[in-house]
Amino acid sequence: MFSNYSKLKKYLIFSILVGPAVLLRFSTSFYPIIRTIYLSFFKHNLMEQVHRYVGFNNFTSLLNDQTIVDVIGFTLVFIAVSVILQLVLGMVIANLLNTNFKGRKIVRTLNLLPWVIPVIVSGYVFRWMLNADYGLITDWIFRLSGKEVQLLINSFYARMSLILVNVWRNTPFMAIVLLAGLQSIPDELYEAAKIDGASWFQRFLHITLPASSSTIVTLGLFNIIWQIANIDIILGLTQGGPGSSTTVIAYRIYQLGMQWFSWGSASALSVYLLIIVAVISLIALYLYRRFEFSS
Amino acid sequence: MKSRTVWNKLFLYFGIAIFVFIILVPIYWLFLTALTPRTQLFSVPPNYFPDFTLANFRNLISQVPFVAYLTNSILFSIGAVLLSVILSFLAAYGFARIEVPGSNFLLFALVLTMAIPEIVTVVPLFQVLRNLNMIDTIRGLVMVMGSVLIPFSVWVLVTFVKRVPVEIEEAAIVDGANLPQVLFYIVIPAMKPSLVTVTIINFINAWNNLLYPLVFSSSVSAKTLTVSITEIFQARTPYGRPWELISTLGVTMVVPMVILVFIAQRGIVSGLTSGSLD
Repeated sequence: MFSNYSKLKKYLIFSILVGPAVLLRFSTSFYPIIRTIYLSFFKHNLMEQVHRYVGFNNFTSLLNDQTIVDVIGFTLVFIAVSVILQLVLGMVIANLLNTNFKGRKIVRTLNLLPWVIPVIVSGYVFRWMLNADYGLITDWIFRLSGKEVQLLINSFYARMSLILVNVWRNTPFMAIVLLAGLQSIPDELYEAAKIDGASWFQRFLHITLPASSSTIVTLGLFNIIWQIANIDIILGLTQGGPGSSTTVIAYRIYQLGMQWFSWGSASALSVYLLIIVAVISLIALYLYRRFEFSS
Repeated sequence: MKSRTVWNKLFLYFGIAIFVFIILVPIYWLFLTALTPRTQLFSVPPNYFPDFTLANFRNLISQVPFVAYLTNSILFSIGAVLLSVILSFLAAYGFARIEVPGSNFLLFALVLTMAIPEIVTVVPLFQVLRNLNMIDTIRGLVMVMGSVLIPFSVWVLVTFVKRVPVEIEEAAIVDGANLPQVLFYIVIPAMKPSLVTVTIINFINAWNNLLYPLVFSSSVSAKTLTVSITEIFQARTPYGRPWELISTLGVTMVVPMVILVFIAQRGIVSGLTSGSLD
């Protein structure tokens, strides 16, 4: 197609087709990032009406704040535990959905529900179910253990609840992705590996992952990045509390920028978040290339 | 051997039952709370079999400008979908069919913008929208949300354009058709299922988006249902938060999504994993 067109004409048609999408996307993504990096070197506060160059001050003062260090630490724990649980449970669910049983179609449809429900709504529903006085789950725990627990008031339990709600919301997506991987693999391969004594995890690592297309691997990794960046679930479930024990970096950026109007600090913390995302993206890129060539 | 398969079956159904239970309990509790009279809501233990009422829906409509927020949500979602699908389709066609140096890198850079956290861009985008006089307008929200949806849409659609046999298009060009005619009469009809799928996925994403309307809208002229639910949550009553109203609004936001999923399950799944499924 278009092979007999002149070079100039090809460029022209390409620009007309691709230009609008690329221009809109780049101007609302790359420009804001450059602007964020610029702002991170300024003390810029809307309330105090200041805009002053401060060098790396925002970056260092963030790291001198123990709360921020804890927030960064919890972000890493949050994402690591969430992803491990999602992969394990997602694999179990994908295997369930891959077997033949009556009503499989409806179960596959139900599997999509946690993913399509607005995250803020899921956050509120779980907050209500975990309510210390009238909550459904609180009642069940009382009936089973005889203990009256206040899950969202204790830091450890609040963190655990947040991670589990996040797992509830995102595992189905992982399951879909993993199921697509499973379906592209011939059964004989699995049977042979089983006979050779490969464990479930070995089969996942050496058969499922490499045989899944690069799209699937990339999609899984994008999903991880989206979870780091999402603030809706925290806004709904805990609002970062008690204290700041369930605050992740993205939520702190929201607080700094949109509630406290401290745009310089918000921008500096944004740069830290971008660095974390960049590291994960590099891993994604590495895997993408690797699987693209191997499959 | 036979007893083993029976056990396997039992184990399988047990697993499925637990799985379905975990998925459905929060959704069930959302709907039940929305239908529970306010007076029966705050009880210990929780009221598992309340009298059903529709009063919560009437209260919701009388206490918040529900219709305006619903209209905003619909306009915002449809606008963002139209903008993203039209621009992405054209771009995907260009990427898939025209070989120019650097186009692969450009596509790669475009897809990579999917990794940019929205929260990182809100402060600069706020300034941009303010300079364009688009704060607190549906137009402004559509522009930023449409942009967010572009990379995924292009990524999926490029794969699907490549599956359309190029010979038909070439034959049409030889017969004197121009590019818009080729797109309209050949490519779009051939890609109808995948375009519908991308439209649905984008609609779900836009409908569920909270951050942009929360940050970039300040009045009834652009606030969406997702913003509205956070405002109802802030209200305090003698008992605590108005969970029956939160749930009622939640139900109105969830129902369209549930309907979409039941209509288009297969399409959604194949769109999400287009690299491996047909």
